[in-house]
Amino acid sequence: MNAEEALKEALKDAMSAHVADVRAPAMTGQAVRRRHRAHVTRFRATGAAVLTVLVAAAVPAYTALTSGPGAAPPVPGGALTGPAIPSEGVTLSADSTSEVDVTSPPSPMVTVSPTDSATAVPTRRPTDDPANSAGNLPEDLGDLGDGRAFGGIRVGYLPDGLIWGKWSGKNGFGTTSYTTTYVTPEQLKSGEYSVQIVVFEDEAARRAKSRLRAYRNDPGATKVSVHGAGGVVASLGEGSEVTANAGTPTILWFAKPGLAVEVMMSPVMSEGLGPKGTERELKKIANGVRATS
Amino acid sequence: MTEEDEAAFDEFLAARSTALLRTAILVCGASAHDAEDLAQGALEKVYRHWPRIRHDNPEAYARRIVVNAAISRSRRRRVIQEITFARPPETAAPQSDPELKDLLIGELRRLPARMRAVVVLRYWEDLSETETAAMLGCSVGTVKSQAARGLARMRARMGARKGTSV
Repeated sequence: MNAEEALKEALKDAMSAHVADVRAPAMTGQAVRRRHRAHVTRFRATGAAVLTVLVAAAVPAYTALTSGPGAAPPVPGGALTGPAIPSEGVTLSADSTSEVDVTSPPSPMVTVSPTDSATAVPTRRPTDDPANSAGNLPEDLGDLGDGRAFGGIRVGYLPDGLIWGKWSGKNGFGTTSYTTTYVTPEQLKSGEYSVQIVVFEDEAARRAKSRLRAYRNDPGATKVSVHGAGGVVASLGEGSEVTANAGTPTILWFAKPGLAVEVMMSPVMSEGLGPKGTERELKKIANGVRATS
Repeated sequence: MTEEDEAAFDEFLAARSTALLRTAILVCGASAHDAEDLAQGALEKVYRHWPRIRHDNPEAYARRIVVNAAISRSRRRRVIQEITFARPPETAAPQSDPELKDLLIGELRRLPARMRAVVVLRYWEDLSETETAAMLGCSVGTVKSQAARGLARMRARMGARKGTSV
């Protein structure tokens, strides 16, 4: 064996010995899925921020077009309605027990019609892969109006001050799933959320069923009943595992056979409400949800 | 993803995640902890596209991501490494096999990132020159020259140590 071959052999032995004791952690799958979920969350925040920027740009453009003696005539079916600045403050109280009038409209705000070419908001092709659509507007479900009806459900109750987050996603939580968020008017600018709801159907519902079963057997979770259906309230980590520390307060149940609903409250909002207030609000949201299909 | 996709991904992890982590450690020249972070980042990309790639040699796809990520990470640390290892340490010649292995790993770490990747893929993964070139997105000629120069550099440094021969 010549010197080069000897070096190759010695090097191979050294490399093999160096990593011989290395084993991938048993929790690799969970860690990878947690990273994926964080990636999807970042994508969602980016999309919301882009939408906010575009709306902010659309307002002065619309104002310039429609104000002053030399202004261009309004575009038929104008896209912008209502005052641009929300007029009501946001209050989230842990002591709040008042019933919410679900027929009252959300706070006045700018609304954007995706069908109007004058809005300067580009339409987006629905996609199943968030990873390939970063930077585009996540409007997989289109204009949801007040945002309370989507994915085969109607959201009857939301905590005071929350409005639709003006975005929606499809299949980001498995096939077939739908999701959207509810935010304070201030959060429309920051891209943050207060409440997120995910609807699971078909394949996604089967996975949700497995999770629900596991959660209900987890001592860290609280079993609840939503219109007679067995659900669970738990604080979930980024890998969807029940956690005692700094998780996302979540309630999961089946609104009807084959249709699971998961309501998540942002840790920031939860902190303001406290543990009992958080659980109470999650239950109220859940009890206000009705299957529409 | 469907349940079948998820189950297939778990099987893939069970079969290949350790090998990918080992490759990351060797190519990156980093600690197991850093390599773990790198490997998980790469696997997240695999997971993101899993339904599309699972039937098309996902292992090669994953390894390519790991290797390229390791090269990128190593390049960011190169300045520090070059300062730290500007001169060979004045250590005594190894007297036993374990010491020789440590010395070889130390020399491997000192190679430039891309050259180290070629050496690892060729002599630890046993990939052919063509496979290595495809993995790194370069020509077969580049693989040949990088491998030869990498071995020569290691041999020269080893030879500089009194009494060391391999």
